[in-house]
Amino acid sequence: MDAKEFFGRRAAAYWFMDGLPELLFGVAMALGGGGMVLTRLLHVRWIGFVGLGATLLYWVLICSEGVSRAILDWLKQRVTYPRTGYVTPPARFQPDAPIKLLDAGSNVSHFLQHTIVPFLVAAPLPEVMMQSRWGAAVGLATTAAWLYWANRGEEHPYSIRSVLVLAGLGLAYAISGAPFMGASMMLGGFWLAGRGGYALARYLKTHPRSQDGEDPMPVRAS
Amino acid sequence: MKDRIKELADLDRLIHEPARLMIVMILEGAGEADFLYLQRECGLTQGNLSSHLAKLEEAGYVEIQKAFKGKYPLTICKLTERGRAAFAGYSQRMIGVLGNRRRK
Repeated sequence: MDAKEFFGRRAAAYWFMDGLPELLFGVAMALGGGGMVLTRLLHVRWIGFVGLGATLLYWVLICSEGVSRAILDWLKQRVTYPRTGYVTPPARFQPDAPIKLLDAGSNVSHFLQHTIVPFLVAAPLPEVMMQSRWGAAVGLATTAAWLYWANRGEEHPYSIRSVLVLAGLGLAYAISGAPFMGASMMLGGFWLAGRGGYALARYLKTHPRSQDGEDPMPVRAS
Repeated sequence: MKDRIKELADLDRLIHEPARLMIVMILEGAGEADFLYLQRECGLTQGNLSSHLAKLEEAGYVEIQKAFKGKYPLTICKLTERGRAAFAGYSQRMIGVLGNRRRK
């Protein structure tokens, strides 16, 4: 890895240091999953609307990078930039290989593939393999291991996708008859938000806001 | 031998200074960064970083702009084309010199 790549990756990883992206997308995922579960399980009209709204909100956040970036930027202006500074956010997702297209390993800034694709990969598996208790377990664990291996070199080597898939598997077993996709999304969302919340708390503790004033660099007018 | 000494003597001294080299390398990789980020990454004091940035700006290697992210004012630093070219030349020269040394 040359110096340019090293510092580029370091800057990209900085985007995740405060835990805000995980927190935001975790909450969005939990809402989206919760919405799906509610709509499937309870056949009451107003709950259906709430569920649909939550699912729509999730899709807007996940699919529109502009919206999610704007929200994250707004949060970071208040939390991160005054504490540890600003650096260019990671570039947009640009798949450079089919394996990465499947899991967005080339760029951790885009959560669409991070949060959706593992479920799309995992969701059909129980249908096929649920006849055998261990079939589903092995299938999902293999998927998780494969996704992790395929993206092991990325700048922020998450195991999120693996854990989400495994969490989905656990839940599929724990709640028999629950809609797999929504329930696993909800659990994955809680896990992601928990992880983000912990990272944020640690970040705030380690980097108290500086009282020095914010204009250390006299710049000539140009 | 003489060539190598000449190559060393021709190194861009503005970039060769460790703190400035660090700044240039960070900006080359990261795109643009603000003062606080650079300070944290380089481990320099405010005054030190400020003076190194001023030198790089004077040479036209770095562009410094005031910007606002919401209400928060940022001093954003970016490598100029000239800075990029200077760093590329510096890297080439260093690799040449060190490469020769390794082969010996």
